[in-house]
Amino acid sequence: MATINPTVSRIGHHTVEFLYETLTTTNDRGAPIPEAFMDYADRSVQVLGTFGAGGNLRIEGSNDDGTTYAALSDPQGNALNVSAAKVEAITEVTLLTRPFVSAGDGTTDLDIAIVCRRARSGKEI
Amino acid sequence: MSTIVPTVSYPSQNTVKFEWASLTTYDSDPGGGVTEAWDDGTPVPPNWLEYVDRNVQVKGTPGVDFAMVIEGGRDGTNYATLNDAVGTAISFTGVGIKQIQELTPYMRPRITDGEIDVTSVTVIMVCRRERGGEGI
Repeated sequence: MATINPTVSRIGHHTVEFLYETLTTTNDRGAPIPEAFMDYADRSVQVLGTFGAGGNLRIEGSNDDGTTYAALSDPQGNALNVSAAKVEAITEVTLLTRPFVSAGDGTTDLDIAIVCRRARSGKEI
Repeated sequence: MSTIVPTVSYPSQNTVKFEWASLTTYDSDPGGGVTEAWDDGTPVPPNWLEYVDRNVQVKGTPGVDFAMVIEGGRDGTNYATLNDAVGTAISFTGVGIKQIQELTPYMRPRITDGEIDVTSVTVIMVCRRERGGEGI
């Protein structure tokens, strides 16, 4: 098992994208978005790629330094278990957030982009 | 019933974490019949009200019949169960993470059912405020 590190890109002053490429059933988890980005509270995730038979990508959060993770939810209260390409908002802002391939087969190969936005500060015009 | 005091820490400038360790279910009358009793937590007090974005994680060993609510109130005496982001009363029956919809002056976890000498959970509430006007 390997942990996939994201490519981190700034999109404007207040938005950051974490792009995880080639998550598989072997390299099944991404390095979590750290707590330094807690201000970036408006978060959405896009999942692309090949899910394979029974493939599932879960968005997980942890408040205990990564010892235990649990599934986060979309705005409808459904656990973020993604089994087809789509975009979803993430309701909870936990100290750590990561993607995790919880099921799939030898063809599973997923790219995950998590876009995080913070509010503008009072100093700006 | 024991009331567990949380450990308070500051993971980042605008985030505070309250961690209640080892909330349990136990027999409050071990010499007599089985009488279940359940722990609760010292509430998050009103001085954290600007930390409006709150979620809660439960971890550990829930045991059979586990149930734990997140409660809020205005006076620290009278409480009601709070709701998650879609309006469902927050009652954990296992480990997990839920968003808290309401912001009340006092907020606490309370176990309402569980398994004697088995149930032992840690509850972590993360509360986030918006950046201040001086932020860049």
